Amino acid sequence: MRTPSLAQTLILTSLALTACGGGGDTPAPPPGPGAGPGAGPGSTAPANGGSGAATSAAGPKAWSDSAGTATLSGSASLAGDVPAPIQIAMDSDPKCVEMNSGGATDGSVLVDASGGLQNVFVYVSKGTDAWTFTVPEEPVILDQMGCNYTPRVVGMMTGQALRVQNSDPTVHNVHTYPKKNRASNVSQPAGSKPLEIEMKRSEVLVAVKCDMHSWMQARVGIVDHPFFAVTAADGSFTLPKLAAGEYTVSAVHEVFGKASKQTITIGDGEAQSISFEFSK
Amino acid sequence: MRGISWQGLAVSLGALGLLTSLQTSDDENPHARAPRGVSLVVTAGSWLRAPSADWFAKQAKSEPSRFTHDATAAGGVGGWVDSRGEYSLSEVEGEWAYWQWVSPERLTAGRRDFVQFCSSCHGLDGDGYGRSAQHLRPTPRSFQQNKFKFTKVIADLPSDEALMNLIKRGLAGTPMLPWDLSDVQLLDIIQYIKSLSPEESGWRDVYSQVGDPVEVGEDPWADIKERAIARGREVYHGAASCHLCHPGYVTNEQLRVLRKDPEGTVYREDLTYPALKDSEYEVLGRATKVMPPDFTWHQLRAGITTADLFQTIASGIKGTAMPQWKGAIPDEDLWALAHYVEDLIVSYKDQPAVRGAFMKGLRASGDN
Amino acid sequence: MSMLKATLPSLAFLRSRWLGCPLALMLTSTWALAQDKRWGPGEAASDYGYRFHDLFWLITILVSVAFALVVILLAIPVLRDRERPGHRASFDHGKSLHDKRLTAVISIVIFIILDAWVLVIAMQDLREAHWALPDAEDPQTYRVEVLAQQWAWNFRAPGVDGEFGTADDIITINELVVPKDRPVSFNMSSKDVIHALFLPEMRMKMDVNPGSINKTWFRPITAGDFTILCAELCGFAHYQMSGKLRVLEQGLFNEWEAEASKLASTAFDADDTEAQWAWDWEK
Repeated sequence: MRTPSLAQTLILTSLALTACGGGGDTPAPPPGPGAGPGAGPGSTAPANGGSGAATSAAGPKAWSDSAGTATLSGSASLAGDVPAPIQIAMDSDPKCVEMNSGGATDGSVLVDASGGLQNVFVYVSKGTDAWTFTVPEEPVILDQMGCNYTPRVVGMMTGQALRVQNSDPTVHNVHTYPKKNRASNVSQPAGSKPLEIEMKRSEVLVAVKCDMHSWMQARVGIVDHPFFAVTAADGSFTLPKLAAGEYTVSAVHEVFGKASKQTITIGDGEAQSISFEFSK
Repeated sequence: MRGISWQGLAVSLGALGLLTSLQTSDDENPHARAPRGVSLVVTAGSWLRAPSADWFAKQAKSEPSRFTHDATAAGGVGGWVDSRGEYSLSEVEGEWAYWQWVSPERLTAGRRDFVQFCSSCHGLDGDGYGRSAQHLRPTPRSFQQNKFKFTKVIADLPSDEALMNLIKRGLAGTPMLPWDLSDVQLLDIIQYIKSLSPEESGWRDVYSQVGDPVEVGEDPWADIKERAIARGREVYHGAASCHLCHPGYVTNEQLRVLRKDPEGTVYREDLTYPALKDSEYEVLGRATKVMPPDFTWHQLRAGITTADLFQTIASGIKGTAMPQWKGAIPDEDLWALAHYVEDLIVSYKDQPAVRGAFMKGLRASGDN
Repeated sequence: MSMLKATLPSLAFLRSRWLGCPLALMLTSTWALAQDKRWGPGEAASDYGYRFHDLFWLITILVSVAFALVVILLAIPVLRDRERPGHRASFDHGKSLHDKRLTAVISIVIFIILDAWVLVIAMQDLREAHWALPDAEDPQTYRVEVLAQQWAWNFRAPGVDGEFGTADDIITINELVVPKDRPVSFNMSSKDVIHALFLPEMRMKMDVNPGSINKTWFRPITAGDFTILCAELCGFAHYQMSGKLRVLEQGLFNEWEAEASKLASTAFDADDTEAQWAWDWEK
């Protein structure tokens, strides 16, 4: 057999080599440190507030309490018959039974004789964009006493710490069920140090449950301003003093969901009252 | 050499080369490893949350020329700089976060392998509902939910290493098999899985922390196993009260003595059975419940060596009722619990006669 | 003897390193492996398992006899009529009518004796054993539904109440527990591709197809732990699709069933209709 010429071999080998390699163009290098993910090619990271975001001439001003002069208060009520209290069995843990010797009832729906609904989280959902607020240093305290959360519903600001303490002689686990924030589930045996939980995004309402005692529930409303309140036993609430302006106020209950939002315009020094009605 | 046809060889190689270079891309190739109409190409790269400063410190030891610490970075706080530009430290909404850039090419390679190996159960979009996942409970993990049960990390999200360990070991007793893919393939698949995070969630959430599995450390009970098991039984039924969710493995009277409760105390019904608990996982939009395992009956997913049990108890099982115990009870008690649980498994699991006798003895008194 | 010496290759070749060593190695290693009792699926643990052995040996012996016969019938003329000094080799193309008739007759005789015999025995085995499904109405029959998937086995047992599709159905993955000495009847289907349920120690194997229900059965006669394998290539992890079959004495089995049913009832979610894959038992 005659051996192929050099030229033939070279041509055929180079054809063989075209099968290898064939990669695409080298992509643009990612942005350096400090530019942030907002500047990356084709990225989908959250909005970057720190790097070069355009600031309008009239940016948000820092809030000071003296700017708040208007009082917004009101009440929340439940339409229809007052539901009968539901007994809960705590016999999975005899220590809980001991601390609730008179029996315990489910605390998710608390209505007083005139229909006032307790534990409704009322907050301003629109109208606070003109200000920035400083996050309070003090944490919001949630206590576990008598195998129940006290208070059942709390409100806090984004970035504020939630301090959960266990005042019971039995173990609890603090399990948060947020949708927009990072979840956590840490155990707290009797006598443990308090737990500090931070949630950075506004979310109304985040459930906090103890899995070991499944009736134990709390709700946390997290907003980025201080204008929130939880209704008292008679359904009444008073928001911290607001500045004059137009606001949308919302109310949420853990069982009955959201009530219709109310938009109000309030002037300096004015006192207004609104009410929310929930139905089963 | 004589006898070998160089011409024949060159012609064959040339023909082969010609044919392969003429082949269309995988997308149009009907023999591509995906159902028709399913795209295997990812066009956009992603910035994903990267491990914390500790991870970089560790990496700097093995790659000192690549990772350097810059004390003036991060607004004077100090941060790590990556000379290859794949990782970057950036400020987002007033927070400092490490990000990792994953290129479209890498994500495409990951997507190809994901569709080929993982999508039959985890779904073509990683939503945990592939064809083979029908009727399966618990369902395969949804990567869009960014929660992982068995990665043994305390931070919000597992590191690449934690995920690799899990995929390589599989989950015993489930259809999640140990996968013997190459490390490169696995890492590509993992980057793709991470990129499935929805906006502001999981690996795209600036507030997420990424961490390695819980460090194991030394077992303080290594030579005194019997005492460890006794201490474990004490902690299990006492301070940790594991019997509130898992079965209790003592009689009512023994439990009362262990917990130093007064005479006549009665505990939950079905003490020797587990109690069903809520979980954060959903299937088809409905929340699912999870059964805490009975160690003498159910197959544990994440390993049954003492070290595995220590890690699982310490980190908890994310998304379920099993909380993180690290920091809540001292480490030596965590180890004691691990020894006790291991002893339960070794003594009773898969031994029907022995377990039957044990359970009969516990239930004989009639009050559990 | 001299004619043998003249034709056979030199005996020295047999002892030479080119043939002797590997041959000796092959024979000794085969013998050694056969001594290991774990080689092969072990003793039959089901009541019809012996049929597998009997059929195997029947075929082996018949074929060996036929083989030996053929070799001898070939060797005799090759040696007798070979080319040697003073003797011309006999050339016979076998095209004569006599030869053709002889070939036909011998083929038919071998076919009748070998194939027909084996066929009869095989059909007997099928009718008496593999196709003789136990009566599903009989409370003695232990029914199991099998749903195969890539790459795991889902088993559903009816639980203490004996009905499929109820809260106490015992659903296991890759693990099957059955009582001893009772017929176990399967209804099997697949979620995706074709698999095959293979219980080697029980000598039972049957394809599991998507879109239809296949039926098979076995009756375990030995208690213990056995293997479940997939015997139809079904994808990348086909080789990992194995499970554990546990056969328990009736007393222990009742205990197991009671416990498993109770745990299943606790975990049952009536609203999760998508999870209920039980189908009506096909007889």
